[in-house]
Amino acid sequence: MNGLGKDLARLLEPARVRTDPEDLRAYMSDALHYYRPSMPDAVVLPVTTEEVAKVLAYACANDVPVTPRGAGSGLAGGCTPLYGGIVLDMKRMNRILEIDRDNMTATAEAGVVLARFHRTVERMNLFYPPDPQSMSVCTLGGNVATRAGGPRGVKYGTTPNYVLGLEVVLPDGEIIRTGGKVVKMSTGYDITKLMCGSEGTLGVVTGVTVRLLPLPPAHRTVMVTCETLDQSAELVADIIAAGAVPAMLELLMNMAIVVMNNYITPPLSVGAGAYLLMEFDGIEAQVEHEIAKVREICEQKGVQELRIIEDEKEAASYWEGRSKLYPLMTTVYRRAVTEDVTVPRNRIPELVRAAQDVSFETGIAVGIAGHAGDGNMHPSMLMMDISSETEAKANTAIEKIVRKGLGLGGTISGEHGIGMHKAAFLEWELGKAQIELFKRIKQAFDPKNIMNPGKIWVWEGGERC
Amino acid sequence: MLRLEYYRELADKCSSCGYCQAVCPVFREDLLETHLPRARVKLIRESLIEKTYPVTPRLREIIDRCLLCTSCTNNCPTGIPADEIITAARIELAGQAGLGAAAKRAVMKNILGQRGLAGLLTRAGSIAQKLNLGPKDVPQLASRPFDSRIRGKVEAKGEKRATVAYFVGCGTNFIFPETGEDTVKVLTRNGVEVLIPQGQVCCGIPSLAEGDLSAVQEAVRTNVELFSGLDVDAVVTDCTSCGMMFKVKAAKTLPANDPLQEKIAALAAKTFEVTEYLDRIGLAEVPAALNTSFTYHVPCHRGWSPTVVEAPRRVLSQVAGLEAREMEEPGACCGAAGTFYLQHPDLSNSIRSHKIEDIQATGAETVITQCPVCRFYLAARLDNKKVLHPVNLLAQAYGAP
Repeated sequence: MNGLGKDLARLLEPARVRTDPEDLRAYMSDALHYYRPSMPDAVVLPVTTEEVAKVLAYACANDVPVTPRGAGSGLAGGCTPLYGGIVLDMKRMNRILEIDRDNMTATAEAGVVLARFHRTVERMNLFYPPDPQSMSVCTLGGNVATRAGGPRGVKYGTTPNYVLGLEVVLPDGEIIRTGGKVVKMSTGYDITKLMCGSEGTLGVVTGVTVRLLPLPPAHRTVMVTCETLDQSAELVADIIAAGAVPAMLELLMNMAIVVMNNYITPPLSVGAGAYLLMEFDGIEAQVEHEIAKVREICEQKGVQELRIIEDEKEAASYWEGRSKLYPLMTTVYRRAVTEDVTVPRNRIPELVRAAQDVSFETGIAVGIAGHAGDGNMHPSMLMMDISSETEAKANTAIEKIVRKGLGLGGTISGEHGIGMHKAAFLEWELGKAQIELFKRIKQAFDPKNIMNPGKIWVWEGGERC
Repeated sequence: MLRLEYYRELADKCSSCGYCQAVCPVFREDLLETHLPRARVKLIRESLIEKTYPVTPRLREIIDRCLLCTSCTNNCPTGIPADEIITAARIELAGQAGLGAAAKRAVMKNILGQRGLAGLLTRAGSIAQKLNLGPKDVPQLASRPFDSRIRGKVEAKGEKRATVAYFVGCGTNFIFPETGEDTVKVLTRNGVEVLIPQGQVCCGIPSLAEGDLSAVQEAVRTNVELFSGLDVDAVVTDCTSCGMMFKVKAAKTLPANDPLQEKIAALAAKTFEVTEYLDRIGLAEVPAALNTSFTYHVPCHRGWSPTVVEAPRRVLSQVAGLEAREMEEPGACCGAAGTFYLQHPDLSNSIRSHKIEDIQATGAETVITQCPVCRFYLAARLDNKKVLHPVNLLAQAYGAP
């Protein structure tokens, strides 16, 4: 065990401090494994907030970088320990502390897995909508750190729309509690919201209080088959403009269905140009009303088919296939680099057309499948091989799509966060002055720059500080 | 195949999504990412395939601390066969190991050659004492193994609908011979003639887990030659692990161009777990009512057939008065995994404790499962319940011959 490990083993149970090279190698990246993986010096597995505080106080005093980590399922390299130091694996802080039905809130530790949280509240007829597609493994703390969301964004928004309060350990080991169970609050700076999307750069989220909704009693999945990709994109814009409110509205190009067919039963026919996979929820009458509205729009547009999936197992298998789409892409392609560009919804047809043009210009297949209903399109650069030539093409394609998305009034990230992967693009969206403000905020929270250094914006010279 | 070199490309294909966290029983217990298939595959690739890192005792520990339950493989969206990569790593490491391990393998080989589990259990008994396991955590051998109870050909009752060869797994043969008897009874009552070929040996799964490829190859060759020579409609086993071996793993234990491959493929095409086979042909005789309830523990080795999971539920739904009570997670591992629980008693016990809780919450009177190891390992902590094979319940419903 190295010196750092020995020091840490005095702060918490030695078995929960790992320094064997194999353990360190297991924590070198998140799902962005090919981009600048980096070995930590120790992996620490805290079980209480106090332990997190002790570790941070030590790290602060000794100038050791700390990278908090949930499930390591992120797609932006957010929890890669770029400058080594300590990886703080939060998954053992996994207690659901309270579900307060009277106040419609729940409080849980940061390492609680989202799917388990969903199951627990839904058993009580309560509903926590945020649904990043890694929900079978991702953690509430990670969701807060990245402002995670998913298909339900179109109707219900994303994680920050539900976070009411947080328990946070500041970089010097101080424990603070922000927000609370109250539904409104006007007490100075909104630190709760500031922590949302901070990607572990300002402190460690150890506890989360969220608001809950009543569980909608009725659900229906609808699959619309479109002649062309352009038609499907126009349809999305029309549906939103008409005021219809699906709970989820996913656009899937033909290729997405091809790879999903490995996973779904029964497989779908792959002849069409694109598909819209939707769910409607609410009371039964509302579900029927929304579907009727969408049906009318689809009929006007002349789609190939609108099918209501009555069999719940079948519907579940489509949504399951959808949630695994990212890793499913690698059954066919050597690598899929998924972007997170999000545009105002009336600009979706333009973004989809631009993505197709970029694919044509660069010679890289661009997969188009995303949460179209909320404008979050996830174009994916699909690489058949890993060579510097293909990587360069993919990077050009990414850059073009990102610029197009920004040109349409969009953002470079709807729900994945910036991490390392999109840091170079941040200035295009926010400008220098805003990034300078970011840096001053960072300085105020973390003057020694120990918290997840090297993330969100480009660090000068790649140096820490 | 089952050589690491063969998996070079596949091991490199992992998208690193980390979705295996939801299904790996060891990870769910340890909550340490090193013990996650994503990391295991990466470590094996780096240390044993690309050889950019050394092989260390910690690496061996990580490779050993896997149940080979196949859940990660069955659920991996990218289709990485992590269990096979880990098995291949064990084979590679067994080859590199010293004399002690070679001697151990020789013993295993002898034991398995003579119809495995009895010897394995003798070994298990002495290990169990050392490990301070509960007395029930080691199964008791039946007074008379199945193969000295029924042999040869058993004729169908009524009109003959099919002829099957019965592969009797070691668990059934030595621990639960009455399950073998019930399998024969239920099949023959449904118009199926049953051949029980003599000379069948262990399917080889235990040796595979130990990384002893030559012992597995020997077992596969013996069984495949024996069963290929029979003129039967199907090969039936009551054990999901034996079924997996026949159906998908056997072919991978030999080179792709081995002359035996054709016979392996032909057998695989007609191999079924017994309830799956009954579900397929349909029950000819309506079972009588049983006034009890059951919950179904789905064995981990289920990915080899799309129907093996639902078959017991479907077949038993035809028994009037028999109430099915589902667990929260019927497919969660019980922790036993062959002899894994002997080497990792604490880990296995924790995995089992969740399963026991889930079972108890159903309030069912009986637990059914098609894996003999799950059966005794669960029974050891379920004093208030019977733990049976689904054919035992069906045989009860058929009553006396």
